[in-house]
Amino acid sequence: MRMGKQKRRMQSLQPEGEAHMIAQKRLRRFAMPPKSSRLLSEGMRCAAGVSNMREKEAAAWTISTSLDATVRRMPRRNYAKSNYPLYFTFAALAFYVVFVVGPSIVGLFYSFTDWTQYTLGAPAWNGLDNFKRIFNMSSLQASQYWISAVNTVFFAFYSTVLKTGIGFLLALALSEKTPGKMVHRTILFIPSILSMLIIGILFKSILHPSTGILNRFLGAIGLQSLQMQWLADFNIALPTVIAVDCWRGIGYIMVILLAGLTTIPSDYYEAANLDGASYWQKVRFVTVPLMMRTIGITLVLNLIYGLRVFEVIYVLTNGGPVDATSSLYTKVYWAIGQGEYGVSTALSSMLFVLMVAVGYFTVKWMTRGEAES
Amino acid sequence: METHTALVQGRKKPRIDKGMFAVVGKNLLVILVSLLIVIPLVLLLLNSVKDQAQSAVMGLDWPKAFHIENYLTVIQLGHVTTSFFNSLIYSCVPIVPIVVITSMAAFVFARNRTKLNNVLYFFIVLGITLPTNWMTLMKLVQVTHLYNTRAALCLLYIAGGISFNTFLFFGFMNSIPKELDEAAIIDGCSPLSMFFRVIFPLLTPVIATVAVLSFMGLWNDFINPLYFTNTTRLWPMTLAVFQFFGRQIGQFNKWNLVSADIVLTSLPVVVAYIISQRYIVAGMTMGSVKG
Repeated sequence: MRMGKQKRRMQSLQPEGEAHMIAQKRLRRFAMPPKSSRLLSEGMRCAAGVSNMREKEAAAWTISTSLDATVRRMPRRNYAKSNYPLYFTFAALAFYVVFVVGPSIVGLFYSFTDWTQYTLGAPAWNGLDNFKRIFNMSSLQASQYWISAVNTVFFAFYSTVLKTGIGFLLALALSEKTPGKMVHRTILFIPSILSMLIIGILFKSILHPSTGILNRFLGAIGLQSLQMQWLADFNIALPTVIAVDCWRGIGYIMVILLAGLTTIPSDYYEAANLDGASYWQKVRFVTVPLMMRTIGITLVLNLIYGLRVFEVIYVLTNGGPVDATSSLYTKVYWAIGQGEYGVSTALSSMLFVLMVAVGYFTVKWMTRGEAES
Repeated sequence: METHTALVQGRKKPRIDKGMFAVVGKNLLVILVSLLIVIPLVLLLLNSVKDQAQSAVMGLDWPKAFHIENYLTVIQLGHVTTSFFNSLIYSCVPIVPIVVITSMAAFVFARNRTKLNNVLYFFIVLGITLPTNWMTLMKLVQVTHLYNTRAALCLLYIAGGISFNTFLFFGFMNSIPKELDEAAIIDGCSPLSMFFRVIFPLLTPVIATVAVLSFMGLWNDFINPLYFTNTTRLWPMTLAVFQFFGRQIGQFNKWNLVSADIVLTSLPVVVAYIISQRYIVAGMTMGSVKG
């Protein structure tokens, strides 16, 4: 605003000509209002004293030369640069680079070395050996890594779909008049504020095969066939872990989607009503399309969370029984315990490369609206 | 009819009028899920005041007598005091630096949209999705002689909070008018005094959000202490509970004490949640919900 006004004033005061245009450009480069107007009047005063040249050119020339002199005296900074200095960001960048990005980048190199507890001081390059060990299906240890990768994807996919699906239904239900709406919202959100470790311990009790309340409840209502070794059965353990993760995460997703729902103007629903749309038609053709951004970002962030899963598995099963629930990050932890630092780093690095690729587009999407405003 | 009343009353909330199926299904679903979530929590509270015999099988039966002294026993047995102060340090100390440095960075990114600043902002926000390389990070912590120190955890927590909180502050900056900066500058403020005297006080709602979310996240964390400490002396409450659980359940099946310990550990976050529900929801929904 201010800059624009300044420019207009300059145009009305100054004669035309190429030299003048250059002068104006220079002015604009450090167009902090009070200073530049002072300069301008100086220039005009000088111009008035010159009479043996053609009037317009003379004025422009004087302005530009006197400006040159002033520019040399003034610090060469512009308004934004001097008042929003880059050093404000240095502390954040330093912490971020040193502790977040740095280790991952260095890890990319270490993943091509034979880094173990024995070669701690000077690991040597060993090419793709770490990756060969991870992907080589013939050795027992390698197939464990492979299983953990498959488990991670399985976990990420199903926990994301279930949490978002159920969370969306709950959000739909709670966005309208429902008895005890606020009570439900509060209850559903409580698990997301508790530590996963605490939830894990709690569910170890609940899911205990003989004393756990779940199996005793199933027995009491005559569903003995559904009693399971929830965390010890090779086939059931991973779905159980996913269920516990959902137990914790659904409320969180619900709150996010609920906030998204309230941003939809009611006009759309009224228009749909006039067209005689049914409930599910309105959900399908009004709610979902208008919530695409919210749902999309929620899905991707959940997927990323799922690919990094560690806490819930560490507490509930620690990867067992026999790697049935191990994820990439429990394997990273396990490999460090075994002294296999190179393999651990290689696993992390694979995840890092994947996340940078996925994250690039996600963050572009998340920050898209902001950049324009 | 419904449409008309909605129009007349000028409702802003989305209203979907619903058939019989939707009404019943909706209520059933909500009640069922709420029950599923409440039962484990009630289970925990009930068992924390039972005696050992009754709590050996964690059940929903009402306590025969209320043993509040369980909580005192836990405080004596479970390293609760040390770990409580550790947790307090880990979850409070990093908050001040996080708030100061991320708000400063977000301010410059939001106000001065040069190419460089846009790239740097994107680079920082990308951190929301990045995984941690624990091995090299451990190496870094060891090389700098920070292994097994509280300082290491605090530094790592500050670093871990940079991306998301810069993102939060950035989103809020646009709602503070630029004219305020200009007024401050014309009055002769340096950039630092402009930011801390004029802008920073106006950020209070986001600062509250960042502080509460950070507090809860840091209080609940146990991965960092798991990787970067190896003595119980430095453990936060979460890890101490886990160790206590291992000891008490493995040998004695004292679920009453474990439940009491869990309740104690969760108390601070639950209190924080009750006090500042509004800020928490505001922070959590930002980013994915545009607004």
